[in-house]
Amino acid sequence: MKNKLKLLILYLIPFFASADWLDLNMPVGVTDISKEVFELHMLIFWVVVGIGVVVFGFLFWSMWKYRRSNNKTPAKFYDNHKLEIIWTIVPTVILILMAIPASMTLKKIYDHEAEEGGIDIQVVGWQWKWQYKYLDEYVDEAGNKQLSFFSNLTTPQDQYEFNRVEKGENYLLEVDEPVVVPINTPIRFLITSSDVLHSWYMSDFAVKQDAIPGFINVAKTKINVPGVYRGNCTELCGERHAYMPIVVEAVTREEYDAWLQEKRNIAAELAYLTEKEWTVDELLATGEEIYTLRCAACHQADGAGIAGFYPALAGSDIVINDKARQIEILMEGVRGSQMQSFAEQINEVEMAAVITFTKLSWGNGTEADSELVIPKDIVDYKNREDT
Amino acid sequence: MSAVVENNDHHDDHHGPRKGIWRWMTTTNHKDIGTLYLWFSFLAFLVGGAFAMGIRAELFEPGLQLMDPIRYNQLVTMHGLIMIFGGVMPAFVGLANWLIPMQIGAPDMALPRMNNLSFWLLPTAFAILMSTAFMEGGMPGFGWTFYAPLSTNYPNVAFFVFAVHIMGISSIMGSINVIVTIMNMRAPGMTLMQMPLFTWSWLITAYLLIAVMPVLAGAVTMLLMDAYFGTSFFDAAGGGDPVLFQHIFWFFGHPEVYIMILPAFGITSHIISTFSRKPLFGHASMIYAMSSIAILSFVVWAHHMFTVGMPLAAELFFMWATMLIAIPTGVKVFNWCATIFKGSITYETPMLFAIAFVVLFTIGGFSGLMLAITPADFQYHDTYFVVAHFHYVLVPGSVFSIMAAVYFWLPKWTGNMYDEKLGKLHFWLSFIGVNVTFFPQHFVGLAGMPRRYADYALQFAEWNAISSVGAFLFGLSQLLFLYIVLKTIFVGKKATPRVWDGAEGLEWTVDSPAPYHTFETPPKING
Amino acid sequence: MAKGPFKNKILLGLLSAVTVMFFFSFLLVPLYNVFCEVTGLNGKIYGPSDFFKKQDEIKEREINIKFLSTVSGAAPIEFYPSVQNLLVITDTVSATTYIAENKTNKKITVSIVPSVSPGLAADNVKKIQCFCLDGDIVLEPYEKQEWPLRFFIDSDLRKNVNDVYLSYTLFEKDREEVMVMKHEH
Repeated sequence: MKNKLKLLILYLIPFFASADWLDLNMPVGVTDISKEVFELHMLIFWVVVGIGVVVFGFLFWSMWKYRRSNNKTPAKFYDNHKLEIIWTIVPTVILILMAIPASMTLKKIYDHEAEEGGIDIQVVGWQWKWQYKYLDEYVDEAGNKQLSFFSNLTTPQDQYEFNRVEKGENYLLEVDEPVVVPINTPIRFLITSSDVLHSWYMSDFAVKQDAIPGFINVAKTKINVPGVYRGNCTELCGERHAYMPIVVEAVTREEYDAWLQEKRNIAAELAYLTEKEWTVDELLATGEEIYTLRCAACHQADGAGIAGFYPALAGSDIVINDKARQIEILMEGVRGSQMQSFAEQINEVEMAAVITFTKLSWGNGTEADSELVIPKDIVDYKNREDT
Repeated sequence: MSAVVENNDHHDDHHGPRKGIWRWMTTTNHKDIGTLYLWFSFLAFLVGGAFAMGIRAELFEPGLQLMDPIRYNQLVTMHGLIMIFGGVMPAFVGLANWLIPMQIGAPDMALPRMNNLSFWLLPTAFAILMSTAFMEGGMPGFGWTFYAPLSTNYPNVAFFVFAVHIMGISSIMGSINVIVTIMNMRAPGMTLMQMPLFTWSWLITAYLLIAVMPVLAGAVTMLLMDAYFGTSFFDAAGGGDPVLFQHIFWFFGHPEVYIMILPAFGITSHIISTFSRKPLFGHASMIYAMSSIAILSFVVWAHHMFTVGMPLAAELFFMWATMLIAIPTGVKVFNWCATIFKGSITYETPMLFAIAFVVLFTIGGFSGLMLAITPADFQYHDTYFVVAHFHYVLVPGSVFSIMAAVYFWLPKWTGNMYDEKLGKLHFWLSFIGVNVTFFPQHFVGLAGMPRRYADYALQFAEWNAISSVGAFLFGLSQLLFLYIVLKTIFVGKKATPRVWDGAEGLEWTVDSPAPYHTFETPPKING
Repeated sequence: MAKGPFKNKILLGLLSAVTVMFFFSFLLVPLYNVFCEVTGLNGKIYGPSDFFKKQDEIKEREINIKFLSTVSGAAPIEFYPSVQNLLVITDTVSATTYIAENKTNKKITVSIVPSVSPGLAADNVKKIQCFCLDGDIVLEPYEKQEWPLRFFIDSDLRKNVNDVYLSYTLFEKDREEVMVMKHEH
């Protein structure tokens, strides 16, 4: 018996070994508002704890004191107007005292005062990823191409779906492209949705705003501490609701500027990449990466799809025989289905690579008998309008 | 069920029940229909509970082990729908059927044939809802709140809509019956203010149902039209507004929340007063408190939508209105405490459940107050903190009160005493199970775990595992409940008419088991 | 005993209450729109408005307008404002354009839904001409259209609001194959 108990305790120690499980409370966060919200939360918490101690204390004491074995004859009273008035007024006063700081904090959150040097980022919720558009930043010299990218979950399916490999530290809280923002700068997130409702939730900023198709919601923040902050979607948006995390990287102004420059460099490099000769192996490697990140969630890693929801790519006639239609589907999406247009979501190289990957995987075809797709094909497709 | 047939046989003034299945299909007797409702709700409770076990099993550890997220969402949705529309509400209607005529000295419900119909619509509705499980696309997976536009594009949404329509009609008919019965069939001399609190709580509940079930019907109708007839009530592309859906839904939804708790207030009041052997403190103020809660429930709906981007004035209004609800709720809790004070208290199973109700419901009320504070709600909203909150008011709230009611009135219904030892064991298992399940959810919620997630980050793993263990403990102990009830029916010791020595009210003046027909000549009430 | 006019009256009352509440739920739709218009909830904007209004108090100030665009459901259309920011003076008409380009060889019908942030400013954004009021718009294959937008901000705009966001979401309503002669090789 004792040994068993020992074993149980030994088993429980590593179970509780990580310190994370002790995070029982709301994070204080890294903005002035989040700190204020935290204090408000703690204030109300202690008020209700106080009320609880008094009420339950009285209840338990009465339960013990007036048990049948201790008190044979019950009292007969059934009202007391003075008491009833008191216990209506006292809670009212407590509530008013709680409402005052709450209303003031709320007003502060809603303050529309413009601040100098702010950054505007449009956030668009998608099934199931986030898109970020930096309203005043461009990646080309001419100022035609806005800085805009999609942020996808990078946790591999091997970790969450098949549980084949150990889960990483930031399991389900990691993305390919985090939103990078400078600290000590007012930031406005202009939140909307492209399909169903989503909600942009970043606990460390005390920000939670619903993303509603057709409407724009604003969430403001000003981050005080550099760091990587992780959040989630908090409005049920369908199957992969749990798989569209938010990652915000707060950096210094210099680092932010460097990041913007890097984005411009990458955009400039793309023109070269589409021109270059691609080997099949290179395409396959890139294609697999893109497929795993963007396609596998629906069409599955083995290309089998999910019957009734997502069509199979393995053995698909379009993938095997109809190169033009496959490009068209990727470029235009399929109306009335979950299949989106990927024209803006991935670049020409990535699209060519992922098509090539599907054509050569799951027994769909071999290098010899398949008509491959190279980046140039996609560029041509995009410029074909005058045919 | 058949045991009830035998037990009721000895009373045969002019006609007894029919034999076999036809008795239950065609019955217009309020006791039979009450029994049907209670068994139906228990079945729904087990099915919904099984779905909850599925959810908790999947959440036992991070990663997808048992099901894909589509299936998970379906379980979450069906768990909510079954527990609300199949578990809690029918249980209260069943109690109303059994108790209201007996508490007001009426021979039956006012509209007995409609009573039969309103019950049998319920299994029909659930058959339609569950049939989607066998269709391509499967059961609804958009959450019990079916927010547009996720729901408008979901497979099999028409079946969901028709099921909700039928449930709504059933509820409305039940409520009409309750109101007409209470208004017309009280024993001569019984004024409204003298009416027992359970009956009072149901009168208020019935009015709430009449007011809001049609709104739910309207909401699902608009949804159906959007999904199949090309209208755009909730579709931004056609000039509609998805937020409008939430306003309409919660205009129904918030009163609905009180529909599921008001009868519990009535039950608890009876039980606490009985086992304290003391009249209920503040009978009138209880009635006023329930009425004000009911009225307030119509002006607080948008506190479910603090994050949709309402203007400051609206947020402030809904915050303040919501906080106001704490006042009448507080009055009720204080009244219960004052009833216990200076009583002569014994702790039989119904009393244990009732006390646990007061304590745990109040904890749910506390987290409710925290959720009312809009700036803090930006953090709590749609996290497990909310899940913990509404399960605290619904499980150790409504469900515990239903269990308390069953233990309390079971001897009256069956004529037999339940096994006190087993009853207490059931209570303690449930009490521990509920708290182990739902208390840790406060923690993961505050730490930021969103609700309706099939999978979660590693930091939440430990508390979720504990929560799952608690859920299985709670779920499995309900099989003990089933055993206790069956044992009472078949081999319980004979109960006295009064059953509890502190019991007051007309239902305790008739035999145990209550004869098939009671109060055919109305009892006299002394004002 | 339980029969009688009284019962029927209650029954009738309750049944009509049910009916009234059912229709009330539909009535909530226009009620809500009125409510939104009054409070600026959701930043909804209604109808073109008259330019000639009270000019008693002229409090000219500069407002920074930012233009947003969203393409719903990743329709194969490029949709963006021709300028990102516009500094406007209250009560003065400004004009800009949005550009929409069909990237396919199909005929696409779209509609545009406007939204304003902060919501309370919605009432102060007066549109004289807006493609969002035109209903369905057809884009021929590969067609690029430039859509004019003329508006002014009235000076009643709350003092602490200096930035106003005008957002337009493009919804694809229909996509039609266009028959073309294909060159067979």
